[in-house]
Amino acid sequence: MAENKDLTQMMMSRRQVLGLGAAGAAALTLAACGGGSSDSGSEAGSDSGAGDAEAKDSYKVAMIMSGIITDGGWDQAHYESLQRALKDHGKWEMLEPHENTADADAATAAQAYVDQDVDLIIGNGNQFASDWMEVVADAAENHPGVHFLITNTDPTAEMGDYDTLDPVETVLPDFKQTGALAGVVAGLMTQTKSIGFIGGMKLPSTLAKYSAYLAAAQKIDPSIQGQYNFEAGFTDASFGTNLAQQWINTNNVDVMWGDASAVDNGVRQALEAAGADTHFDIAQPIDIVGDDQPTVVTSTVTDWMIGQAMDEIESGSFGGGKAITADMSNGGITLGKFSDKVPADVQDKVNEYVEEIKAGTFLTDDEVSKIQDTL
Amino acid sequence: MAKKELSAEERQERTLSILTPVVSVLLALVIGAIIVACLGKNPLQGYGAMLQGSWGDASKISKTLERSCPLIFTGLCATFAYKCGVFNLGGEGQFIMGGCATACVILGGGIEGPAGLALGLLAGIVVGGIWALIPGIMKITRGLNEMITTIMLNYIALYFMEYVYKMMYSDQGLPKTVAMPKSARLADLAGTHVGVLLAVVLGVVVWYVIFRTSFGFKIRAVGMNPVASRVNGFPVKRLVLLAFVISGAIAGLGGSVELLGRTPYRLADGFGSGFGFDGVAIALIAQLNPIAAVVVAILFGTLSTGGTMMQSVIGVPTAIMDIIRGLIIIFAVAGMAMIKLPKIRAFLTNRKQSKKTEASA
Amino acid sequence: MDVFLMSLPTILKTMVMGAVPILLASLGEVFSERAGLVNIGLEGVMAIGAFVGFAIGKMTGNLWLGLVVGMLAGIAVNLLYGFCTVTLCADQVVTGMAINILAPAIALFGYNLFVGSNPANATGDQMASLAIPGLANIPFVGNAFFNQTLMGYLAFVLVPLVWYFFKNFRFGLSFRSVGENPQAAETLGINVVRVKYLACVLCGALAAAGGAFLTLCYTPIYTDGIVMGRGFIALATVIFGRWSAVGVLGASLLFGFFDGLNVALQAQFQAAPVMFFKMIPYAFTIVALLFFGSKHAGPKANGKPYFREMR
Repeated sequence: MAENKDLTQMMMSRRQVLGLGAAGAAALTLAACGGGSSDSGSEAGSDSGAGDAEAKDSYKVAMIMSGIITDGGWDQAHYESLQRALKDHGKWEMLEPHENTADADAATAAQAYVDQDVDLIIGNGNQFASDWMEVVADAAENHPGVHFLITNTDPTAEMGDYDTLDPVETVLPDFKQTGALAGVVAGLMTQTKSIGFIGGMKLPSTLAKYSAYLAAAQKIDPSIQGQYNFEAGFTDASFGTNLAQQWINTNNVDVMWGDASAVDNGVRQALEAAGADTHFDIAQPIDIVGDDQPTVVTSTVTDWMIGQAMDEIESGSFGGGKAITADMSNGGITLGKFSDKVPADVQDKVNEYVEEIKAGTFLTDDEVSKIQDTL
Repeated sequence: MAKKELSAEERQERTLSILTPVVSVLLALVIGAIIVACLGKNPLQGYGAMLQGSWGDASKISKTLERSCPLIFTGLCATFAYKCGVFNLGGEGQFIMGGCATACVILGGGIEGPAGLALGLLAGIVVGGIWALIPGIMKITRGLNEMITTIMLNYIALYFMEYVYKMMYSDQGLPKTVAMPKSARLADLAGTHVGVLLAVVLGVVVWYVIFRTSFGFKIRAVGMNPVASRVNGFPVKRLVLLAFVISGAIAGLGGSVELLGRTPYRLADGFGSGFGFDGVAIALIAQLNPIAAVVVAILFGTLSTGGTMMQSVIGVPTAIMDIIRGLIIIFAVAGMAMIKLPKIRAFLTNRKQSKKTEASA
Repeated sequence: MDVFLMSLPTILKTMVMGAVPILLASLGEVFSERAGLVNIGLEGVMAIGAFVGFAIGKMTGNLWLGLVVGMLAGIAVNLLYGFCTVTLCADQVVTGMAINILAPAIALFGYNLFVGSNPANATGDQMASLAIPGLANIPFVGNAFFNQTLMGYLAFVLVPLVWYFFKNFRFGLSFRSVGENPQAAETLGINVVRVKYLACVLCGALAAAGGAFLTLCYTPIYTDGIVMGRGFIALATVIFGRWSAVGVLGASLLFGFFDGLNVALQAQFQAAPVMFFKMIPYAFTIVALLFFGSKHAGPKANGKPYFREMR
């Protein structure tokens, strides 16, 4: 154990040495490149860490994702959250997002933005939590102006091995609320009393969402049955089609809720083939209700509260491994538009339940965990 | 006199074989630059960022070497197999199974410290070898094309790894394994891990085995002409099987090293993804020379880290780096085939000879 | 058993749908390998076909035009393969591998530009299914076989055509001789290089059509990695189907069936470790090859470069 401590100390000092080199090189590049980012110079000068509320004139933000911003799901939703935040934050400027980031390159991608002293680096999803450990430690020491925001990550459970969480915050949407919103819609819309869910990966968020989804639907009608798949991945749309077909034909599923980006597209394909007037889809996490999506009745929309992170950085209160909650009270979670397939009386009923969900009176934690325990 | 003539020809061939990949890389970079320029970005700034981001300072260099490390292993894996005429496209599967074996030994056995490290690496070597032995047996007994079987085994390994990181040693239900214990990790070395050194040393060892031992001679003989080797009394089947096992073991060791050497020290989605096919390309660009394979692998690593930097700095789609990588492979392979074409060869020798006669005249 | 019976029609539907892209690609590969070219770059050619078919179909609103342009793009990419392997005699495996890296990257780059310029481009249109009256109502198999898109029917119609071509046409026979013994073929007056290029054109067109099926008939979107290893599976079905069109049809359907079984198992056994179900199609391919893939079948000169000067 003592040996380990020595080792980490040694590593630290090595990092410092290397870091000095990195900072020097970065300064050189900045000097060489010249124009544009005149603000970065002042940042490098002041090295007093967090709590330094000296407001800057302009800030930079960058987003790193495994998919692309037009995936119609996960990464697009993050990108749209960022766009919304930028609208309210005039001082912020967005760098080109880093798409298609392979796991092996995730740390390098973050380092690239650290080198440019980007004020906020956003990682879309908890896979970045494990890849960024070294980058964060390095940045905390040598680039105090750089902050990291990782979404759908529980800092206590998933970032326990970090040396420092000073420049890090995460966003945790209230998965129970999202699930409950989808659940009441599904419960009111299903005629066959059979609903389905496809998740791309068996994450804590996926499990929580499905449990709340089924619990809420069963609250409306206890006879409702739920089908689930948590391992669909995020790219194979044809799998979504095939799986949904199987459930439609064998288990009479008529309402689906998806959490698997491209795979959800395939699901909608199967629902449409089975009849768009009797088979419905609830979209996630962006609002896609419209004429070109005949099966989509509504969407559960998530906003990753990037604006709040920007505010905190401006005021100097960002960091320390806090988790920003995105829920219905702060607009992080909302139910999208209804399509005309949803009758007016159902819409009214949904809206009633929405208020209860927001107030936290609709579902108890027990009801959700009772389902989660069976998964 | 005759001997001198031969060495001149050899020298020419060596120059050409080094020149071709270099020209290929430059050509691919030029095309990449044109694409970048078409997008309205400055390609010179981009390539500057790429160099700066991969070789700009000590920490960047260590990151680049660390990124190259698994590619060195899969490149050597492909090199060894191809030298024996075995088209092992299963580097990725063997790499993954090596990682899985290490995780199972260390996490399953609860072995920490140097013992865990040693056993983990050993398990990776053994299981990687076994994973390559399967297509090897299928090839020598049923004549099955190893290209197909190794690719299928890649998928099976991929899903098996899912089982390992989701079901067996999942970290609190998250789709990743628990991190390898600190005491069992590979030691740090100049900002990276000793696995990089191991990979480079392995490159030299493989070169020595292939080109300087009688075993290597037999392997090469089988690769060039299995029928003649059989006539010569070489145990062809056993040698082919050995080539499978050794190349798999190299890839498996690569998986273990990656798992024990590199952050996040866990198995998770994307572990080893694409390394196998990159390894094949590396081996061929290096013209099946293990030491050249190490160099080419480092070039590929540079493209990955540098390309990521370039993408962020000038803001172009990531796909451009894949296009450049694909072009490098195509150009290199085509170029090397070209200089071996009888016509071109004759042209080159003629020119040389005419030059010589001119000089002597 | 009951659940299985109830799942069966959908398994068969998945089987037929899943077989079409593999069938198209492997028919292309049959042409290629019959002319002595092992084209491992099918995966990349399919990706190009899938993207170009999707983009042109969306831009023009004409899905058939999308298919045709997609096939042309596939031909273009495969001619690059042809140039390297036939004219330059480069290593076929590595050239194919390079295509597998290059082509999807080009497709993704195109997708970035296409959808990046207008997010509405992300979702394309789909070909409608045409039910054949009467036949479509046969229990179990009706909906699977006789309620397909026109493109699906066409893929199946190709099978007897290709079979007849190799069996009965003089040209088909000379085509085969190129893969068996190019030196002998050349002495018989067959232009080996031309036949090889023709094989590349056919292979590129068919593989790209297989890719385009994914975006025009299966799901209305393009994603990076949409081909999901189908190109590699097609390589296996060619061996398993013993280089014949009919054999390849059987192999594709069988693979489709196991993929359907994988989905059905995932649909019904939700708490099981589904990754083992996902292995089924790949594990099955190996087992099938063990039983049916013989080393003695197949064109003799398959995979070997042909140096005309070395006659």
